[in-house]
Parts: sequence; structure tokens; C-alpha cells
Amino acid sequence: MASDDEKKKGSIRKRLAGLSVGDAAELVVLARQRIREAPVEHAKAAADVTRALADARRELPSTSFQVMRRAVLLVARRDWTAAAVLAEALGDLVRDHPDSVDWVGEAVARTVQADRRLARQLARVLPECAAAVTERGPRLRIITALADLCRRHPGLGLAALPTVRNLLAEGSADGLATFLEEALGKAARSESVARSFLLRESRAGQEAWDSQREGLALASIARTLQLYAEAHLGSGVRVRPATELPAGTELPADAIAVTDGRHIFLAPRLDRFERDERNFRLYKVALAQQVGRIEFGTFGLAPDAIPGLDPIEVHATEADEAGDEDEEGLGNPVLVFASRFPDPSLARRLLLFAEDLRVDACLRREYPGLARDLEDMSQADRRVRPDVEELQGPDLVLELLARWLWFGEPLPEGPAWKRFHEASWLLQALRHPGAGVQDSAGATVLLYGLVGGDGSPADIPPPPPPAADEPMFGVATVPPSEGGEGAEGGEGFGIGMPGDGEVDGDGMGGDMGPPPAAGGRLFTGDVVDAVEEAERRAVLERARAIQRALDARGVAVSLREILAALEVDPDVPDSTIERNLLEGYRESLRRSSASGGQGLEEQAASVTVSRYPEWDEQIGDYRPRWASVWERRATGDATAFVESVLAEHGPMVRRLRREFQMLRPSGLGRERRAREGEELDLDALVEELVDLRAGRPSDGRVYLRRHRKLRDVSVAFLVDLSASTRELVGDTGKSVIEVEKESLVMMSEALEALGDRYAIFGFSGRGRQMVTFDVFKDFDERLTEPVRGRIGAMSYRMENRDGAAIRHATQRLLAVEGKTRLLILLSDGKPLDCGCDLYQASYAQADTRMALREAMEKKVHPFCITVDPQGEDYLREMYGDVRYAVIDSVAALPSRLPAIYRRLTT
Amino acid sequence: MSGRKKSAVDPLRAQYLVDEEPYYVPVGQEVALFAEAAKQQVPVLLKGPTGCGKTRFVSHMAHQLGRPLVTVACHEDLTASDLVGRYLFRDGETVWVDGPLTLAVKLGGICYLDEVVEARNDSVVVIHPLADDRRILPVEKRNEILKAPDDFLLVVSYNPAYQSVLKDLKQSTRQRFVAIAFDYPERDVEAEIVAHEAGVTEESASRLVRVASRIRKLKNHGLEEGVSTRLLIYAGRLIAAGLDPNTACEAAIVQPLTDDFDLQRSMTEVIRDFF
Repeated sequence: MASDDEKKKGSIRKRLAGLSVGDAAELVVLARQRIREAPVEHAKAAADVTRALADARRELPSTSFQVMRRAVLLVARRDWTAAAVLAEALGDLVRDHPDSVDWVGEAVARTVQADRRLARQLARVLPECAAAVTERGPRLRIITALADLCRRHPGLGLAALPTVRNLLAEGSADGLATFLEEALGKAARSESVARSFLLRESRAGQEAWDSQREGLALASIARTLQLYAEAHLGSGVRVRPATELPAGTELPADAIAVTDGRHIFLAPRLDRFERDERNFRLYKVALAQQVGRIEFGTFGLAPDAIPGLDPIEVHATEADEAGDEDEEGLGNPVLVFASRFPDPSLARRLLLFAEDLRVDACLRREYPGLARDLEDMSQADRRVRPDVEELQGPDLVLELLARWLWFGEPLPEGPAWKRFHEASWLLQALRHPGAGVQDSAGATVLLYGLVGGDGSPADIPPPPPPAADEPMFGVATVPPSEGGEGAEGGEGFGIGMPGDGEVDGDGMGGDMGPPPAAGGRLFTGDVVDAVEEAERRAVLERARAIQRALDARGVAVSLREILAALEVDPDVPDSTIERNLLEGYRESLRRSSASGGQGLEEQAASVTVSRYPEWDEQIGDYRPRWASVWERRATGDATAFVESVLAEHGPMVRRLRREFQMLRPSGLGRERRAREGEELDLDALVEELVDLRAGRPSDGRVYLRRHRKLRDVSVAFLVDLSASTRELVGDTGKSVIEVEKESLVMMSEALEALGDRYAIFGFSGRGRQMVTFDVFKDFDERLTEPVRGRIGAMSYRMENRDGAAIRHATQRLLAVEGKTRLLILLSDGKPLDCGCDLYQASYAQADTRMALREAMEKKVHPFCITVDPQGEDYLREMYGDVRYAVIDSVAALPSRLPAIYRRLTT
Repeated sequence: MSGRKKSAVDPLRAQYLVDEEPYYVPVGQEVALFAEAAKQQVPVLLKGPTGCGKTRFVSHMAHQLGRPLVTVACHEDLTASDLVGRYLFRDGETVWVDGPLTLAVKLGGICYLDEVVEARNDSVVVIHPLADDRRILPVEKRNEILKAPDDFLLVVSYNPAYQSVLKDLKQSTRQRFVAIAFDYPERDVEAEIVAHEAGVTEESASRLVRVASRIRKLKNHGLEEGVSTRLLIYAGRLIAAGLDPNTACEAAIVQPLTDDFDLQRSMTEVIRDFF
């Protein structure tokens, strides 16, 4: 260890070289005292601070740097880790609003005194939030309110911080400031009232928040829309807020939706209508449009087989050169197609223009009810068209074509427009049932030529004179789209009847938000490159940077290992990942030098090691004695956690206990004097006969009834303790592992009432040599205080090698009695372990599947409960149709787990 | 099931015959399979989700084969005596009353144990001697052994989507049957069924079935099971009776399936797409 410290000191020295003498001296003085207390941790944080400041000095103007340095050092005087977090998070704020940095520093520094952990969280959240608010007034109000909240009511701050960023995305800064101030006022009277207010669990909180913002938040209807999309397209599709679009792509201000063919991104909030019911309609129509694109084959476009388009060389993209992996250009055929034109963005618009016509017609045919909503929103769309007089070139042509095709507004006459009249009839044909995406592509090629995308923009006719009130020719009254059953009048923004003047000019609804792009529609959106692709590329880039950084420290870590670490926890800053990998590296060095890890003192007496085979899909055979499972008694004592859970969910715990008590079979196996039964109860029969002879009334209760057999269930709960369970859950302020713990606390209370034999195990580890298997409660153990304390102290660790853990848990289950043996796995994602060998993807899943099959052969019933919304994709493969459940709202786990258990065992 | 003497078997038999041909649209080879199993005296296991037509199929086959049908809805308190029969105490005498299984054996008909997993394993065991080549039913309490006539056929059904680990058919039971797997019918067939059973137009029936195909994709995402053909027929009947289709589907599809608000709302929107 000493050498470690030496090295650390050396690296700090090196780092300090990057600073001015004054700064370095200041840091050393500050750090000395802390470093003496807890050398390694503080030294690391101090080194991080130093490095961040050195970077900032290079990048920032000197005044900004001074501001930042002041704030960071202020915090560093009290807590180095918080200062390190702050130094890393401050970037945007220092650049954009240096005048608020002092406030942030002050807020974090003061919070350290109240709660160190909270301060570190605040150091991350506060700069981000502050940077996102453009106006100074509300920004300072938010900073002050959050600071007061954290300082005076640390518990509240802890709960509220994770939600603040969502609130900011959902509402206005002013609204958030008012909301926080109101919560602060409430907290002075009662913390619990303020807590439910802040988390919007109380009606007052919800209403106060609703009144702060306008429009409908996607978050409030996200699950409904997700399920709606799944119903239409199956579980492969995800509905996500546009804030989650990969870096570099952004939802244009006028768009509501964008898709890559698998993900549909929606604007985080809609306030185009006054009433939320109407905003919801708009959301739904926008989503249905994207669903329609996917369902009716927009992404089935074959870019190489377009009539009229010569097989041009695909423009080489940067991506092609960058990636040597399995990248095959762009993932999205629409973009591939567009990339074959000199002006890809115009080509894309034209194709989507044609597709809008085709998909709209498909939707109306397939979904007669949806046609009503489409028509309704189409009327809204008509009110917000861009001003024709301000358009020119392709924009003008597209807009006029759109107006003709959608609303029947006539195209201008004259020789220059003749070809567009012809084109419009071709476009009309896309509405026929036989039309496919290839036809749209064909039309695109033609339109592209017409609007001069090939470099002859002079051909575009000048803007037409203001449209006349009367149609210029008869066909103008042809309804532009078939099948609409008539729009419900659109209230809220004063919709007019179609064609009642104001065709152009000031036709845009004032509060309807920005008009769509020329030729586009209010509710149809753009398409983007396959999101996974973009995200993967970004992650790869990150991984390479980390690898370079580690390289510089003389540590070689494979790219795959870094990628795996990033996958486990994508939100962790690079420096932390670097640190973790470094530690993992050292750990493995230590372990190998200590002959397989047996020398580690902490794993002495109470540890048993079992070896299990592992199934290798590639060789189609087991690898014998491949994974080592280290079983040990869990340590830790956090009864306070358990108590707080029991307090928080008091009523539910009592209800669960009552319900489970009722499942418990009553002790007697036989019931005498029953009205019916399989045998006669002789005693009762004799009495009955005596009664009869004596002329007394008889009640016929002469049977002996055997009771339902006793419950004989043994269940093992196996909790996946991988690092990813530290992620926070929605806006609850709790991490996945905390919610899982809560559920286990509730579950054990229920099981105590029921009397089933149960054990709680947790597993994690790193590499096949060390799968840790913690026993929190064994089968024959009572639920005593120490056991509760251990459950409360359960915490995330490293990775998850499911197969080995399942095999070990199966062995443990087989060792106890029980007619029915149940193994319930609580998981948050795929099996994944990238210690020294690769345990991931199909290898890991094949092994897990095999472990489950072995368990079933031994009459142990496995069941997996996952909180991973993507779980559907791989769990069916591993667990079969009926042996898993996907909990889409993690917060509901504490109530769902007992319900599932009940369903499984009755 | 009142106890009658053997002399009354014929009227009793008539009581269990399926007189009118039950409406049933075959979806695969199930009719031929069942007929052959009946001919060869092999017991039949029907598996499939709830409300997909298993019970209707059995009565259809009973009619086609002209055999009486005795149906038992299994539940967890069902005992062996409930199946075989018992002495009842009546007017100072003990009277033997046949259980449905015994009755079916005596009538030479089909005994259909619906949702057999619901029954306790020790009760189910009494069917074992009937379900292999012995084809006998020991009636222990009367100390007699009934030999099943050639026309007797044992049919059981269960729903494999049922998640309880306590309720699974034992291998020793399963392996006495030939099994026919049921699922919801193909779209066109299901639409035909809904139109016929509910008396709605083909168009409405087709829309109902398309709604169902969407909702069934939500299984395991909060929905334990997809919407059954039976519920579609209920919805169809409400529509045929003149109710607004959205109201009808809300009552017959959305509400029965789940109490989860988000899920309800998304199903309501899917239905709204079609009506």
C-alpha cells in the first residue's frame, strides 16, 4: 500500500507542475491536512481538482478562470471530493454566465457543512441547472432556493436534486424558481409535506407545478405513448424525449417528432393548444405518423433500386473512414438515398414530402378512427403554414404543392407552373393503395429535377400573386385527402373552416408556435441516422480517449474492457471510469501475486469457494470448473434504512402482512363435521342418527374434510448487485439498488407473515475467478435485527455473471427442504462480466440460459424480474415465455414484487 | 347430477348430448386430430390461452361424434370424491351419488376437465388409470372397478401462460395425453368468428380483430395475457346492440384486461385508431 501512496504523491507532484507556483502552493497547504486524514481518497480528489484547474487556466480567459478557481477552492477547503465534482461540472456555467459561479460555489460550500454527500450531488447538479437558465434573475433565484433547501433540509435536498433537471426541462425557469421557493416555505412548517410537494406526490405539489408551466409534458404521458407504439409495432420500438437525441442531432424548433426507424423522439413538452387534451391529440397524431412510417415501410427503402436514379457512387462519408468495425455506412436507408444527391438535405425533404402523402393515405385506410384525428390536426396545420410571400426556390414550390395536395388550394397557373401541375398528379398517385416507398423515391427523383436541385435554381418561377378567393379551376375543390370523417372543431386557437380566406398572409395561429418548414407538416417529423449508430460512435470515441489517458499512465487496458465499463455506467465522468479501471487493474495484479486471491485476509474464515462449469456457445460444450463463486456472509448494518422503509410504506406493509397471512394454511389438516367431504365423520354420524331418532332436526354435518395440503415453498431471492444498479430511478431520487432493497424489505415482511422458507442472496464480482455471492439472509435464519441491517446495507458492486450465480443459488436451494423451490432473480440488465475474459452478449446469454435449464431440470423454478425496459428482447430467449416480468416503472417494484410472488405461488 | 338408477341411463344420456351443432371454425388440423384420438381411445390435452375456443371446440367435437359431454370446471378444492362420487346422507340413509367422471364413464361420453391445473395434484391422479390402456376407474368407496366403454374419452385443458409454479401438470399426468395447441385464430378466421358470434358487420369484426392484434403485442408489458376472442365477441355484441364502438370496447376490452391507467389509456388510443 505504501508504494501506492508514493506513486500517488508522485503523480500529484507531476500534476502540480501544470499550475502556477501560487496556485500549487495554495493547493498543497489546503490539501495537507486532509491528505493526512485519509490519504488515498483525498489525494485523488485533490489531483482531480488540480488537473481540472490547470485545464481551465489554459482554456478560459483569465477573469473567468479566477472566478472558477475561487469557487472551487472555496469548496475544496471543506471537501475535496465535492470540489473535484464541481471543477468538472462548472465548465458551461463559467463560459456562459461567469457572474453566477460565485453563487454556486458558495451554495456548495455551505451544503458541505450540512451533508457531505448531498454537497457532492449539488456540485454536479447545480452548475448544470444554472447553465441551462439564460436569464440572470431566475437563475439566481433557483441557485438560492436550492442552496437553502440543501442547507436547511438536507433530507429534502437529497430527494429533490435528481428531479430538478427534469423539472427544468419540463417547465420554465421562472416557474421552477417559484415552485422551489414555495417548497421551501412549506419545508419550514413540515418536511414531509414539502417532500411530497417537491416530488409532486401530493395534489398540491402537482397543481402548483402544473400552474407554473404551460402545455403537456411528455413525461406525464410517456408510458401511454410507449405502450401505444408497442401495440402497433411490437416491443422493438422506443419512444424517447427529444432531449435524449444523440449529441449533434437536435429537434428543430418547429418539429414535434423525429425517428430513426427504431426510436421515436418526441418534443419534451407541447403547448401549441390551450387544452392539454388537444396537446395530447397532437402528440398522438405525431407519434402515429412516425409509427406509420415504420409500419408502412419508409425504412424499407432500397436506395439502390430507384427508377430514374443512376447508380451513382455513394458519397463517401466520414463515418466510413473512421470506423473499421462492422459499420456499413449510414444505418438509415432514407439518408443513404438522400446522400446520393448533390444536395442531400433537399433530397431528404422531398422524399419525406412524398412519404407524408403516401403514409397519410395508408394510415387513413388502415385506421379509420385515426383518420378523424389526422383530419383534425390537418386543420390545425393549415393555420400555421409559413408565409408564401417570404419563400422562394424549392421552399416555395414545396409549400405550394403542399397546400394544393393537403388543402386543395390551387397551384398558380401559367406556363412556368405547368410542369408542377403534372408533378402534383404524380404525387397524388402516391395515395393509391398500391403505392410503395420505391414510388415515393421515384417521385423524389423527378421533383428533385423539377425544383432545380441539380443546380438550375433560376428555373423556379417567381412567387405567385396573392391567391384569389375563388378556385382558379374546377379540380381545386377535389378533397385533398380521402376518407376523413369530418374534423371536430378545433377550439383553443380559433380554427376556421377550410378555405375561408387567409390562405396565406397572417394565417398562422399566433400562439400555435412556429410554422413547419415549407412543405412539411405540423405533426410530421424528420428522420435521423440510426441512433444506436451515432451513440455507439460517440461511446467509441470516449473509450479511445480513456484508453489514451490510461496509456499515458502506463496501463494497458483493452478497448473492449473500457467499452464494457462505459456500457455499465454511461453517465459516470471519464475520470471516474479511468480510476475504476486503474483500480481493477491493480486489484488483478494483487490477486495474481497472491496466488489466486486466497491470501486476502478479508476472505478468510467465512468464505467458501465453489467452482461451476460454464457453457460456451462457441464450442458447444461446458468449460469445466470455469467460474469460481465466493460465498460469504454479507456485512454491514443499516437498520435505519429498513426502519425508514417500514415507516414510509407503513400501510402497505400492514396490508401485505394481512394478505400473506391469509395465504397461510391454517394448521389443522382435517375439518370435522363438514357439510361435505370425502369421508364420513363417524362420531358426527352417530350423533346425527341419535338426533334423528330423537326427532331433533339434523343439519347434515357428518363429513370429514381434508384440508388443502400445507404450503411447502422455499424461495431464494438473487439480487444482481452490478454497478449499474446505482443509477437513479426517474424522479424518485432513489437508485435502482435502493428500490430493490425496499422491495426486499417489504417482501421479507410479507414472507414472515406467510411462513415460506426464504433466503436473500446478492451476487456480483469481476471475472470468472471471482464471482462474489453474498448471503444477506439464509433459509433457516430468522429476520432478526442484524439480518435487517445487512439487507439495509446492501450496495452495488461490480459486474454480473448470471450463470455462475444461478448455478450456486440452485445448489443452495437444493440443499434445503421444500416441495416447491423457487429462484427469483432481481435484475436490471443483461448478464455482463468483463473482468479478465469476456462474458457478455450472446455468450453470456447462452450460459445463463443453460444455467436456467439446469435449474429447471432439478425442479427449481426460476423467475426473473427486471427493471430494464429493454428486458423483453433478451429475457424471452433466456427465460421462456412465462418466467419473467418486466417492471416498467421501477418505483412500483416494492408493491409489484409481493404481487408477483403471490401470483407465482398460488 | 341427481342420482338415478341404471334403467334411466338413456334419458340421462340425452341430457348430456350436445343437440345443436355448436358454431366452430377449425383453425388447423385439430378436428382431424381429435377425431382420430377419439377413435384410438387416446386422451386429449388442449392447451392455449383463455378464451381462444378450447371449450367450444370440445362441445363441437362432442356433437360431431354424437357423444354425451360431461364438463368439470376444476378448482383447487376439487377432490377425488368430487370427481368419482360419494355417499350422501339423506333421509337417514346413505345414498351413493356418481361424480362427473363416473357418470361420463357410465354414459360412455366425453369427460372434459377444464383448466385441469387448477385441481390439486392428488385429485388429478384418479384419472390416471382411465388415461392409459387400462381404461378403468376404481371406485374405492364402493369397492368396484368400472371399465370404460369404447366411447369414453378423457379431455383436459390448461393454459400454459399461467405463471404459478405450484400449478403445473405433473409429467406423469401430461404424458398420458396427446396434446393439441390452441392459439387465437388467424385474423380472417377470428373476424369471421366474431362477426358470426356477435352479429356485427364484417367490417366491425375486422376492426375488432385488428385492435386485438395490437393489444396482444402488449403481453408481458403489464398485460398478463392478450385479449381473448371471447372478449372480442362481447365487444361485438355491445356494438351490435347499438352502443358506440369506443364505449363498447372500453367496457369489454380495456377495463376487463387491466387496472393500470397508462395501459388503459394506450389501449383506448389504439381502439380509437380503428373506430
